[in-house]
Amino acid sequence: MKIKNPTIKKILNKINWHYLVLSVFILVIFIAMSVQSKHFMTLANMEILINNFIMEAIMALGMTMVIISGGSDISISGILPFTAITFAYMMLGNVPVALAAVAAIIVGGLIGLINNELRRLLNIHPMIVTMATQLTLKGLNLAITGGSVVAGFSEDFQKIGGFKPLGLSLAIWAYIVLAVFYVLFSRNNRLFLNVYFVGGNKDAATLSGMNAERVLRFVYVASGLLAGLAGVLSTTVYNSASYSFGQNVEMKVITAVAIGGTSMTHGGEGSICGTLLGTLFMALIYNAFVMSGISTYYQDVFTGSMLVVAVLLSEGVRAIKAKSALQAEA
Amino acid sequence: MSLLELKNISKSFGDNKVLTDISLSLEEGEIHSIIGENGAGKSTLMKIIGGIYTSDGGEILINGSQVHLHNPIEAYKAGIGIVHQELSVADNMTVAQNVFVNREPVNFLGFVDWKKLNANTEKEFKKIGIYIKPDMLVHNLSVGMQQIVEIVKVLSQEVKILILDEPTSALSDKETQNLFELLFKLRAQGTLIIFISHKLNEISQISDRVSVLRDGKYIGTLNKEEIDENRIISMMVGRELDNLYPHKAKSRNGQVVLKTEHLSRNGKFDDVSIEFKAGEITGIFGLVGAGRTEFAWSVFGADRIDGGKVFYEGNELNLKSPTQAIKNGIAYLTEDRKRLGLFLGMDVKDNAIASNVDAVTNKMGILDNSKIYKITQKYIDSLEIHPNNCEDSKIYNLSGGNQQKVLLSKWLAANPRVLIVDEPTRGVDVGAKSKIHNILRQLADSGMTIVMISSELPEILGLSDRVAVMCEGKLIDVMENDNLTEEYVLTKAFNKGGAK
Amino acid sequence: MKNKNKHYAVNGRSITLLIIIAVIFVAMSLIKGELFYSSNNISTIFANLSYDLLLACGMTFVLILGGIDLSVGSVLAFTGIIVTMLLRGGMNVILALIIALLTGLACGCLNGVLISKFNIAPFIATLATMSILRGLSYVLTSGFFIVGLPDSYVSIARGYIFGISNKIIISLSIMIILGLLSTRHKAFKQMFFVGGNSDTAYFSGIASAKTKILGYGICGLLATVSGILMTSNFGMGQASFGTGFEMRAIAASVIGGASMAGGEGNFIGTALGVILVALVNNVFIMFNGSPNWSTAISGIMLLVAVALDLLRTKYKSKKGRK
Repeated sequence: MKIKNPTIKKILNKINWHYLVLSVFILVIFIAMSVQSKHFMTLANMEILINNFIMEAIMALGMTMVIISGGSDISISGILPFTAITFAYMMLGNVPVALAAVAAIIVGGLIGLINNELRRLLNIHPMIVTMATQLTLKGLNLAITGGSVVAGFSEDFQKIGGFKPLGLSLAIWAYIVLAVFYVLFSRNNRLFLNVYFVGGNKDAATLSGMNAERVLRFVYVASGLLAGLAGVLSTTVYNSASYSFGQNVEMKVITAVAIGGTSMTHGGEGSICGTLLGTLFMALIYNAFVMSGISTYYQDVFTGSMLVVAVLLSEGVRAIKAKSALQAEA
Repeated sequence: MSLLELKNISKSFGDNKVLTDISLSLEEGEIHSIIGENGAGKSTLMKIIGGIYTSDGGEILINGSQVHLHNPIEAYKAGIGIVHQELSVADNMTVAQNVFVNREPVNFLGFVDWKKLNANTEKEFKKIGIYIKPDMLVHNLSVGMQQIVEIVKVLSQEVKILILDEPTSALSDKETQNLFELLFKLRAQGTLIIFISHKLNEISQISDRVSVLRDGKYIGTLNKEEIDENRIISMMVGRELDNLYPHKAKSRNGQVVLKTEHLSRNGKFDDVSIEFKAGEITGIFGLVGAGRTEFAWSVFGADRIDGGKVFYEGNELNLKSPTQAIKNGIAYLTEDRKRLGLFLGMDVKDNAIASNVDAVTNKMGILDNSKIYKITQKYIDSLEIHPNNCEDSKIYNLSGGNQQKVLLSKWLAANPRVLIVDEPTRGVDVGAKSKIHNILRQLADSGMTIVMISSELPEILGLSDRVAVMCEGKLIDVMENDNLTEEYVLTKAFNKGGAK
Repeated sequence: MKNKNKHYAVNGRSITLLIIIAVIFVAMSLIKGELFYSSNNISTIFANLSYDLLLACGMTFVLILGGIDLSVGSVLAFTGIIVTMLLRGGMNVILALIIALLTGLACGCLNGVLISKFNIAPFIATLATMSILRGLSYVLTSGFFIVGLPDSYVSIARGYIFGISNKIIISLSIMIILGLLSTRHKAFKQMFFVGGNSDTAYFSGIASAKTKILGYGICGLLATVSGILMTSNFGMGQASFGTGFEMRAIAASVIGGASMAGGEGNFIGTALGVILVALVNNVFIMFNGSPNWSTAISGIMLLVAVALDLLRTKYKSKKGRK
């Protein structure tokens, strides 16, 4: 379809089609679900919708930056339970809650650091490194807890789980703060912006005088910290810590990021805003599953398929853009 | 005291000596051009100054004191900035972000001051007299524009020594003139500008001095009054033909086996019509950006064709992949043997049979080891590959010359009717070079059609029956190799008097 | 007489592995005595070997191609479910087997197509199919086990020939055949080229896409055989079968000599790698008592194996710089 009118062409070029289509999808699903069930638009259901995906939402922020930098962090599904267990054991060991929480989150960051150092020193692709770390952590989680749930915290702690300023849980507040932070910083802060450079062309970034390694260290540590936070929050929500926390969470997070438009195959492309949309989309779909009573086993099928579709689409769009750019040049 | 002094700079990559004992003094406030054929060592020398490579011995002195540059950041600190031939812009970011990458003005939160950034960028562009919107995505710019962004990026930093490596290759005439205006201004401020180009007219226009490199050696420097295009060319080529080349083809009336008509590939080459005959070696010569390799890729089916046709033995050919080309009897020995020619991790015999595995398999698809060894041994013997029993040696253990021979064996094993070789003796020792030349002539004598792409004038003149010259994507001329001189061919390659 | 083909012949790596295995064996026998070298313990070690052997064999092909297949564990479960559901529904055993094998082949080929024709990175594509197939497995079974399998089917894995379990015989024979073919058959040989340098393979006229689809297809097929053996052995189909098995398969292959960079793979090495991983697991259990460590151990072994492999690749490329 050839558009001749220059003004229309200009407008068409400026629209971010990806976000538009995604938003339309979200709207359609929203409407469909409201029509389907009168329970959908209730406060109670909205709470369920959000809380079922809040951990993934938090980690998706960090994952976005990792993927933009050209890598990925598979280890979050190992870090989350690991920090939850660490947090739990510390509290059982009479460490003050606040201190234990901070320590557990830092542990998450340390694991992120380990991921990065292994990647750097051994020159291994981040996917492989974080996959191995994930496996090791999962094994440790199982071994340390012997398969049983860690519980029995103080009464004060149990109150934290019910602490809901303005009716929103701690996790939601954490997400709001983090989301705002990430949106602002990813668009304006130099370090965050450098992630785009490094992801786009690491060698060119280095030739331009940037310390690319410092940038990469930052994204992996941040991802680990966020996973650590998710682990601590999970413990407050479930009042326990278990090796089974965060099952498959890396798939859901990566898919949310991919749907949001961040490219898995080409670094340097993507945005937090896209991830916010992608997260909303995933949360809606999962809520749809809950509402319609479809077995949870469909979730994995869905997530996997969505990932493939999201990647195929973004590759396809890229190819079309590249082709039309070349023809324009000729 | 010179601003930049190079003393006895040498550089080898393995046993390939790229620079030999270069000594040069460059002053502040001058535009100093460096010219030489492909492979003369210009880019390597610049990369040494820019901290990307380190020299094997010799010194670099800035204002009389020696400097050791281990990476580009140290070079920048020393006041050296390079605009590379290959662009290093991030096309997913804006113009302003690229110009001031990692040097954006920030507030206490580390937030970029966008207004200031864009304003600073506009200031920089004003200096060059070109206007590009600072907030435009580099992705949407033409290659010429991207090159300007690259140049402005380097210029926006305080550089005392500015190196430009083929900076005008994608610029329009007006943009080029604007760039030159800026260079003159910088020169007036005392900046040393090192300008690498293969465009004689530009060199004549702006240079205060011109230095010529040939085969990695420093030949001489001409002052402004002495700059004369013919003199430059003769300095570029003046070498003794001490290599003995095999005889030329006895007759040049072979059948036309491969023919292209108005062959084009957007942005790479245009309207190339040429015939290749059986029994002849046709050499294709050209300088940087001539489009020869791109032409070969399109003929071989490795890249698409945007216009024109290819005819093979009289029939039109529509190749979609190298697999089809090979099946039809066309072979292409790639320019870069390490990246595209050899399987470095595998042994010699595997490399030898890679393009014709069918020849060594039986009907069930099982490989016949004895056939593999036989074929490999055949080529080891006929091409004199050392060591003689290297069938099972990993190819990375062989010297450059022997690796190239194995690469040639692979293609010969595919029984081609047309053999295109791209830089067949690059990085190869003298003995192997001579052997490869003799083999190519023998193959031609036996009826094969040989197309030889080469940047080495002696090789082109010594071996070819006919010489084709390309320049910036166009075929300039095809000449019978009777009494051709290096100067004449090189002049054609510069396309003096020809428009872009 | 020229040198034997290095890819199959026992090379330095394999000998090293053999020595390590022997040393562990001897040490454990001395330390733990009867507990370790009793036929009970030994057969436990080897019991689970057959599944890993097949998965690692398939993984070796994929690694040779320069890719990776994370979905093997899920294919194992999924095809296991298919065959057991068909059998429970009364289908003829041979027919059910054929359908399961074709399904597994299709799954593998799907991976291959996504990777070669649609240019999706192997990690992502197989991560996605792993997820989809695992999910489908649960969906089809709703989490229940599938039981009630005919004796003829169950005897496939549980039978013995000359005192050796059928499982070992089947998996070893397949591995030996494929290992022999890997360097002697054109289609497999080309995998080494494509994995070694896919651009060079392209310019040399080798059909990359077809070769990749073949490699991933075989991997899926082998995972299916593994699934058949497992469901036959346990007499049931279970959606959780094979979870985490892909890590052991990768670790074993890399330990055995396959490189993550592609172009290399040794089937004897892979077999020894499988044995080594199983042995190390057993050692930990002997000392620790808890089988919960096995995942952690696989993870650490994978990390070490991959790290050593990449160091070796780095060293080699430095040598090749001429």
